[in-house]
Amino acid sequence: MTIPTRLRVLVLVPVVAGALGVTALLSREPAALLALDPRAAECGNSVQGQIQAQFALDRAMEYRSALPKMLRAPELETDGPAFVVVYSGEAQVGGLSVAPPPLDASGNTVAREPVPTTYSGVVCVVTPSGPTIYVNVDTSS
Amino acid sequence: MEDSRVRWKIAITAATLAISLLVPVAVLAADTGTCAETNFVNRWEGFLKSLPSMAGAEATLENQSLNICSSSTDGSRANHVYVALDDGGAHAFNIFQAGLVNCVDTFLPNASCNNNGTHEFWAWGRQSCPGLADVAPNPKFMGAFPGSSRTYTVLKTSTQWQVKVSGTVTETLPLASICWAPKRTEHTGESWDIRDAIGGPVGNPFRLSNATYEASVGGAWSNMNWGTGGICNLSSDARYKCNAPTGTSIDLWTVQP
Repeated sequence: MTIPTRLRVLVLVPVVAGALGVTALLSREPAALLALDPRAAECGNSVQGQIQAQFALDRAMEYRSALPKMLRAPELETDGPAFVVVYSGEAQVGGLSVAPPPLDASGNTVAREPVPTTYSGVVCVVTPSGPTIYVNVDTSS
Repeated sequence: MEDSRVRWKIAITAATLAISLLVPVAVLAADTGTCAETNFVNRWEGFLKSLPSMAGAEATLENQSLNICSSSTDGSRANHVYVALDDGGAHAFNIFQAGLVNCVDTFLPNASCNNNGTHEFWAWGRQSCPGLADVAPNPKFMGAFPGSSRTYTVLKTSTQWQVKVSGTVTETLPLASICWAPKRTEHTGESWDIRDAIGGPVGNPFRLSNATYEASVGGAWSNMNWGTGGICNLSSDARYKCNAPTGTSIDLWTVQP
C-alpha cells in the first residue's frame, strides 16, 4: 500500500502535523497496523477498512490543510474541533439510509445506478455533532 | 488485510454473542423473520409525494418499538419509520431524514445501531454536488426511544436545514451543505434486507400520522391527503404492508413467511 506523501507526514512527523493544526497523532506504526482511536469510534462502527491516517484538528475548517484535494465540505467550516480518519483503498460503508428510486407515472420504480457498499477515498470526520462519512475523496497530496 | 478482516469479524461475532447473552430479549425483539438475505438491498413502504419543489415533511410517529429479526448470520438489518426530503430519487445519497430506527449491523456495527434498540435517528447525504465532497447517508443517533409519540420534522429554511422533534430544533446543517433541490417527501418505512421488518407485526401496525408537507421555504403546511383507505404508492415487496386509514396517516406492518 502506498501512502500519499502528505499523509505519511501526518502519520510520522507530529511536528509538521502540528504546524497544520493537528493536535494529536496516535500512532507511528505502519499504516496497515493503525488501530482506530477511541475518539473516532463512531467511524470504526460505520466503516470497515484499513486506516491510512488519523488525526485531530483544532478547528474542523482546517480539513483541507490535511487533505488538500478534498472537495469542499461546508458543514466542516466551523471553529469547532474535529477528528479525521482516512481509509486506504476500498472500504466498506455500513447501513446506508438512501433515498428510494424514482417512481414513474404508474408508480413503478425506475431503475437507477446500484448503491455500492464499498467505496474508495473514504474519510470519516467526527465533530461535536457526530460523524460524517465522506466517500470518493481524493486523499492524495 | 483479509486476515485482519477475519480477526475483526471474529471479534465482532464474539462480542455480539456475549451481548446477546446479556441483553434481555425484549431489547432485540425478534419477529419471525429468518433474516436470510444479507445483501444490503434497501426496501421501502409508504408514500412519496413529488412536486416541483419541497421544503418540509412532518409526521407523528407512535410510541411503539420497532422489531428486527433475530439472526446470527444476517449482519445487517434495520426497521425504520421516518419522514424525509429527497431530490426525487435520482441520486440515492441525496436525502435528509429523521425518525425512528431499530438496527443491527454486526459486520459493520454502526454506532447508531447496535444495542440502542429503537431510537431516534437522523441522516443526510450529498451526491453529485459540483465542488462538494460526497456524503454517505449513515443513520446518526439522535435520541433514545422516547416512550411517547413525537412529531418529526425535516425542513429547509431560508438559513439552514433543520431536524425538529416535537417542534424543537435538534439538528442543523448549513444551507451550503446541500446543493440538491428537495422535490419529494417521504413518509415511509425502510428495511435494509428483505427479511427485515418494516413497521409493526401483523395485528399491530406502526402508525405514522398527522402527515404534512411544506412545498416552499417559509410557505404553508398542507395535509398529505392520501385519501381514506389509500394504497401506498411505494411498495417494495409483498411482505411489507401499508395502507392509509385516513388521508394523513399510514399503517405499516410486515407479514413474515
